[in-house]
Amino acid sequence: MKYNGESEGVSRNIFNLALVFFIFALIIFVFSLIYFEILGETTGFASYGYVNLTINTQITLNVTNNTVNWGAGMVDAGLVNATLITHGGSIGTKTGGNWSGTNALGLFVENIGSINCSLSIQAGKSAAGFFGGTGPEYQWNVSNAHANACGDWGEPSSHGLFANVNVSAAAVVCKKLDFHSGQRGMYIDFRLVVPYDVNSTIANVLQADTITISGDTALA
Amino acid sequence: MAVKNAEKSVSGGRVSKKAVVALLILAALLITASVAIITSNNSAKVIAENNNANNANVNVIPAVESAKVSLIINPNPNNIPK
Repeated sequence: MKYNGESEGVSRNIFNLALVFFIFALIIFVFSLIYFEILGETTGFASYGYVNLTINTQITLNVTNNTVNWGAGMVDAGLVNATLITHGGSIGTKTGGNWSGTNALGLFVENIGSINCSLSIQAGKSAAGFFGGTGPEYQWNVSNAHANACGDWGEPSSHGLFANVNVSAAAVVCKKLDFHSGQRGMYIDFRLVVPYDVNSTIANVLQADTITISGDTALA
Repeated sequence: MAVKNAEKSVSGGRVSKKAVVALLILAALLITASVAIITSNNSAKVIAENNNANNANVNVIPAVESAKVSLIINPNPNNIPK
């Protein structure tokens, strides 16, 4: 049978089949719109979004007293060595020698950045390299200048007790140093045992060692 | 509209070929659009996940300071090394 001059049509079954396929496609389309929230985004009802943000945090250490200067001195007569010790913010003391402790205060280090940090220290010379002679000692001791400044100690021998300095690698002496004002300061004290028999290349010549103090991401 | 037109074209158990073809074309277009939506949305999700990973990045710039320990050792003439 023809309609308005057209060629004969297809059977009703084929039309139904096409209709089912069309409805199926429509369902998939609507489902994809809803499931992937295209409708929400296009109408301004998106439920979430993303912000890409990178934070750069600068750790800042302030070494207020950065020089331990014992000046000139000698081992007392009849003794084999002299012991020089710094005591935080107080003047240094000596035993068996005549050095002056007036300018020999402990190093005062503060974390003045905006986050907690770890604190590592490394010496440039060993005791033998510093003084030579018989039985030299070069040690340090890290302690809280502000109560509870260090929330987690690192190398156990370095807090409260003098321990030989680290030369080959930096020693993590505090895993978490606070950054809040009034609770972020630490002292680094030194104990020097100076032998009486230093060699001629060291005697009467200024001997110095550089301490490297590093602040990095807190480890605790 | 296509469905209505198709229904209008039904008569005596026979249907216009044009109506059937129109339905099939529409269905194909809907399927194509659905595939495009699903594909593009998957790509967007990957980007979003990457952004989330970037959010976890906090660049910490270490600090390095130096200090000095110094002294002069004068030999005591009364202490003569053996």
